[in-house]
Amino acid sequence: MAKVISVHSFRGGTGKTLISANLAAIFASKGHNVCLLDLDFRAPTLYSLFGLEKSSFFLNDYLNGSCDIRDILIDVTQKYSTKGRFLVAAANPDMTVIQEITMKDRKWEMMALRRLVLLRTGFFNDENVDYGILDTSPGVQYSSINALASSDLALIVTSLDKSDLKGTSDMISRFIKVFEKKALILANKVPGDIPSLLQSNEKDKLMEELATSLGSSILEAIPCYCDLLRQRGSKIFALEMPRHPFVRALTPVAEALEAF
Amino acid sequence: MRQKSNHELLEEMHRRIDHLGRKLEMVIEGQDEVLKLLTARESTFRSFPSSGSLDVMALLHLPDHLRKTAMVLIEKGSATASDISKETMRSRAVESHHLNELVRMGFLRKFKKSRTVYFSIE
Repeated sequence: MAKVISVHSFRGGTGKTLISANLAAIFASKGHNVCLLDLDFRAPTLYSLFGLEKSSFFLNDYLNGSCDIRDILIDVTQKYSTKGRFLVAAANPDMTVIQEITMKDRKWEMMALRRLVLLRTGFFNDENVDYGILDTSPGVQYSSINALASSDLALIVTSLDKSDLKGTSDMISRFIKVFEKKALILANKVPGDIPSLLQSNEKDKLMEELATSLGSSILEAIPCYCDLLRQRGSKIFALEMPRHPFVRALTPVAEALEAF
Repeated sequence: MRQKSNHELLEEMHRRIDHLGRKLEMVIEGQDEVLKLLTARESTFRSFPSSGSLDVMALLHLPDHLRKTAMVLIEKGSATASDISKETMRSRAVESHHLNELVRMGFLRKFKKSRTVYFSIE
């Protein structure tokens, strides 16, 4: 049975999408079959990150009930030579479609939730998918709460900003624990001197501080790497630069999710 | 064995009546608590905007026991109380009660096929 993980954040700009894509890539490189879905319908990114601009069907169409999930998945296994099967579903970047999704009614949202839930017993099961990674829209949005409700666990990416930490903590108690899901927290873009941050005593101190302010433990604290930003969202580091320190920092997170 | 005097019997009776009185107070206090909980739950339901769609925001407002039933029915689309009970590991009678409660709240539709009762999210 596939493990479905939603990657979410309270605020935008935490690096959530890069984390989702690279985690999916780490899993696929290790030989797991992975399906990465872009549920950030308000600001779609995966189509450009994976170069899927020519897609004719998007995840929006599957949730609309106008096509099968097989019609929208792009197989990038060969492109990136991953050991496991790597499938990606992009959200439609067309501005008219982005506008439309904000106006969907409650019945549509209920059916969208149903189609997400059905992936586990349907496609994921039939195609031996090991990991379903749902990249969500930040904050409290229908599509994000649908993702949280239909996944097994949530990886919440947070910055060190006070308002982000407070929002993360509130969101976990209000939207994740209610559905009896486990939340794992990842601090990303941690500013400061990277070598000292990677020293265990400095890192432990930071993790302890964060755990106190969030009221739950932190899985990992990843430093802010400027060269990630310099790539302007065009590179999957785990596949193209697997020795990059960002990938090395993310690998224990993937291992923790595997063990969970 | 010595027979108890009338005075001793009277004292014994008083002690037992006191004991019963204390137990009765505890029962009344318990009932008050249950009443408070039921009132709070009813007011939650009354304030909840039921539009007939069991979307994720509706699920968030449901009490835990109903949410569990509702989540299974969302996956199944339509099902009997027995189908739901197999997934939730609760008895068919309990699921039947929960499903009927969701029908009363306006979230589900109930229909009969042959002699079997089905519940549907649509």
